[in-house]
Amino acid sequence: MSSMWAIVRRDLLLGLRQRGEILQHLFFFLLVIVLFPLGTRPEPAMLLAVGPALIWMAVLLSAMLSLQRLFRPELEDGSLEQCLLSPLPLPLVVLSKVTAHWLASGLIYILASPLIALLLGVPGPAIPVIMAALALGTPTLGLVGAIGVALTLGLPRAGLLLSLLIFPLFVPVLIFGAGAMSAAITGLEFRGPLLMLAAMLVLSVTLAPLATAAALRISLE
Amino acid sequence: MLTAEGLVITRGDRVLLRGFDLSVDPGERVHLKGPNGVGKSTLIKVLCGLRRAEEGRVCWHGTDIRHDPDSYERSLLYIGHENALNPDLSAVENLHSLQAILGCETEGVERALQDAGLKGRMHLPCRKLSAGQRRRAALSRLLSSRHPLWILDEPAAALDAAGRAWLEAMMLAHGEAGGAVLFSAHEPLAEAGCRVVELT
Amino acid sequence: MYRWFHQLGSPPYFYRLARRLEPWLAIAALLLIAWGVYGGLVKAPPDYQQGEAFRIIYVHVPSAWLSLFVYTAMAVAGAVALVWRMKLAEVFVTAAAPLGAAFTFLALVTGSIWGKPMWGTWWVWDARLTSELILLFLYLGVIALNAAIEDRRSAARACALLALVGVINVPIVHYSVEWWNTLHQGPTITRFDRPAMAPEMLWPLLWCALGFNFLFFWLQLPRMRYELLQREARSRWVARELGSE
Repeated sequence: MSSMWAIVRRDLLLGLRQRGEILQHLFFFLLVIVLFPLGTRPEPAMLLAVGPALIWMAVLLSAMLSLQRLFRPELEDGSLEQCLLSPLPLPLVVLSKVTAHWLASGLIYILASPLIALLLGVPGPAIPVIMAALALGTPTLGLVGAIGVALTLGLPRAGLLLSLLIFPLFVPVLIFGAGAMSAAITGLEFRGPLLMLAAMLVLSVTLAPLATAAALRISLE
Repeated sequence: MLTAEGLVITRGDRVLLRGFDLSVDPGERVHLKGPNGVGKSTLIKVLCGLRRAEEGRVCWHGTDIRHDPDSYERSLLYIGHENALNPDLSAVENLHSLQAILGCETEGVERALQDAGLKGRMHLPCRKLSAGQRRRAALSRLLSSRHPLWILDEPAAALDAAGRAWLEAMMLAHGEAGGAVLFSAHEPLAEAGCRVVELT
Repeated sequence: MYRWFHQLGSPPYFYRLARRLEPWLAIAALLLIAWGVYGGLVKAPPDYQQGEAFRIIYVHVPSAWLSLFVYTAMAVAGAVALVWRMKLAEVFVTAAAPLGAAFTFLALVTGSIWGKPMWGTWWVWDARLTSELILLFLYLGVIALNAAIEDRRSAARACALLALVGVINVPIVHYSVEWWNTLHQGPTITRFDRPAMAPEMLWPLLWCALGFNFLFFWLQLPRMRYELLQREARSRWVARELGSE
């Protein structure tokens, strides 16, 4: 659908223009992971045990930061109103924007993950699983986080409230994502958690845009 | 074409309008007037379908816009208070994507921006344009518009005299072609043959 | 039946009905809880495994049950509010959230107290307690969102949507926390495995749970009435009600 593509193109173009901000989120992500071993004994065994949780914590925190720029610029400049009047159904508008947002954030984390794996001493065979878990989990985070953004749109100082709202929604992704990574690192069966991540992704893709669209309408009233 | 029947509009717990009726026919220009804060923008948003009234309904060609939002949205061109221009993109980029998202044609964008007086500046990021230039860029959508109904919220804000004349010319031409314009403004715009609705 | 439901949605009718019901709800709550507590603390024999300490389930289990019940009720009311734009349903959501949070907190505290004599620590990352903790955050989210949005109508509708989204999340969180727990704790008996329930133990539990339900409604109705008064302060029926009181 050309309208959806127009939205994705526009948001990606905007991301390119604002690449400083996107790089900041990436650096924050790397920073969290790099700082952690400095605060403790960087023993390989412990890093491997804690690694998955660390990666996901960094992803969650960066996601909460980057979600702040999801609908706000469009609200401020008035283009969100126009999107409501578009022939494209609002859930699809939401889906397009979240996709563009993921391409500028989640995808970058996935590409950076081999580097992170190196820093944490993750064995080679586990790296594809780490990337797969991130690939399945980060879109879910974006889709579900968009609901929170839409509910708090237009509120001043909404950052903290947003974190409070979406944290319970992130917990399942964290559990299964870290579970898959841990299982792969220790050589156990990892397909179960990966499938759960996939199931949650499917559920999010179908339901989250609907909830986000409803929340946008409520916030714009 | 457009009718509003018995609208009751509230904002917070304040009742802005009660039992408000309005009709706009082809070729008409309707000017919404009223002091600041009386609810012109809120009424406009209700008429566009962006907000819901507590009671009453808005009809497009007799059908409630809630029952058939699609055909109404296709016939409506709404330019709000804000310009819908992202400051980091150029006017061309902004309007291109806006037209594409709204399902309108995108070929005439550059010509329309030229006509709006932005010849040398349409490829600059919008943050480098003045407020008046941004308004002109937003209004350039009117040039290539095929929509029967225009709803404009304070279209002349930030425009200089030449800009106002340009806007008035477009509104008159639209009326002659059978379209209708509903707009809010503090001063008269394209006065001749315009119907004024005063909100208190 | 449908007409009564429709009538119930009218704020003035609900207001008068709620005022009449409240004393009865209080009595029912008091009687049921008293009966349940008597049965649980006095009549029921001590558990062969946990001794007298198990008796805290007479507060813990009803609280936990209520915490889930209230959230589900909020979600149902939220759905009604969003689909039918029913003001009363919106008010139900925002009024119930702090009560639900209180029940959740009570469940967490009593759960913690229950565990201390058994396991020696005040908190254990047990599946059920962890789920309750996340449920508490869900409630806090609704409360915070309601407080953050100025327009009462928009706030209530946003909370209704949040409650709906949350209710879909609750089973997902529960399942994932359980999975996480079995992964890391192994096949030990979780502390909240209910002791094999003799009828003398079970019945007081049910009375307490039912009593807590009535307690919730007894607390909820005045909250809803208060919220209605605030929201409709300028309407005629409020002037009439307050004038006649």
